[in-house]
Amino acid sequence: MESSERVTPPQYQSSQAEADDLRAAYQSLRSLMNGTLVALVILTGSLSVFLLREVSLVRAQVHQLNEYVVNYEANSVPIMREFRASLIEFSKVHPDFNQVLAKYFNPTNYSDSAKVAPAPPSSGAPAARMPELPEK
Amino acid sequence: MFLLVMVFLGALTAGGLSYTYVRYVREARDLQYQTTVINRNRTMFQNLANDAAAYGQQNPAIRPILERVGIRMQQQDAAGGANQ
Repeated sequence: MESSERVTPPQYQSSQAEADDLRAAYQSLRSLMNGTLVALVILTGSLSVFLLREVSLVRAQVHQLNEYVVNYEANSVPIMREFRASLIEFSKVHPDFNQVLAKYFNPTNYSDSAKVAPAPPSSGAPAARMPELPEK
Repeated sequence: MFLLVMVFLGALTAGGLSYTYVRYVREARDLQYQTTVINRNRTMFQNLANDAAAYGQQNPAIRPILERVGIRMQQQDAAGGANQ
């Protein structure tokens, strides 16, 4: 009787082994999933820190360039406009100065002192013309 | 569950920072182009002032214009030393 209780059927042995295998596979998969999630957390954290530093650097650069442009438009552009207008007025009285002025300004724009000659194309422009100035 | 939430939040943060970074880089590129144009303008105005000064050797009538702009350029450091 005892020997019959100790003996387990082969089918039960097989299902027990399968359950053990499944349990082990589940534990392995769970560990793998946890490891992957931890790696992803570390990866996204590192990426966020890197991007945060890059954003702060680029933002500082943008701020600096913006100040430079604003300073140019506020201080230099009015002087350039006045200088240009004065030279154009001068060239009307002294036509020989047109040779100098024509190197920098389009002669067709002389009559309209409120506008400035457009900028030349950046590639392959043989003659230097005065580039555009932002309007007020 | 906690790890999943952390991954989700990290991905969200990285995505937002990436968008901000791209936006700032684009703005910086535009400003760098403007800076290039500004430097070219200043160089050309300096060349114009030099040519006008050379013309002033022949015709002193232009000197008041140069002096007026030159004084202001000295004060405001504009047009890149065009007061020569």
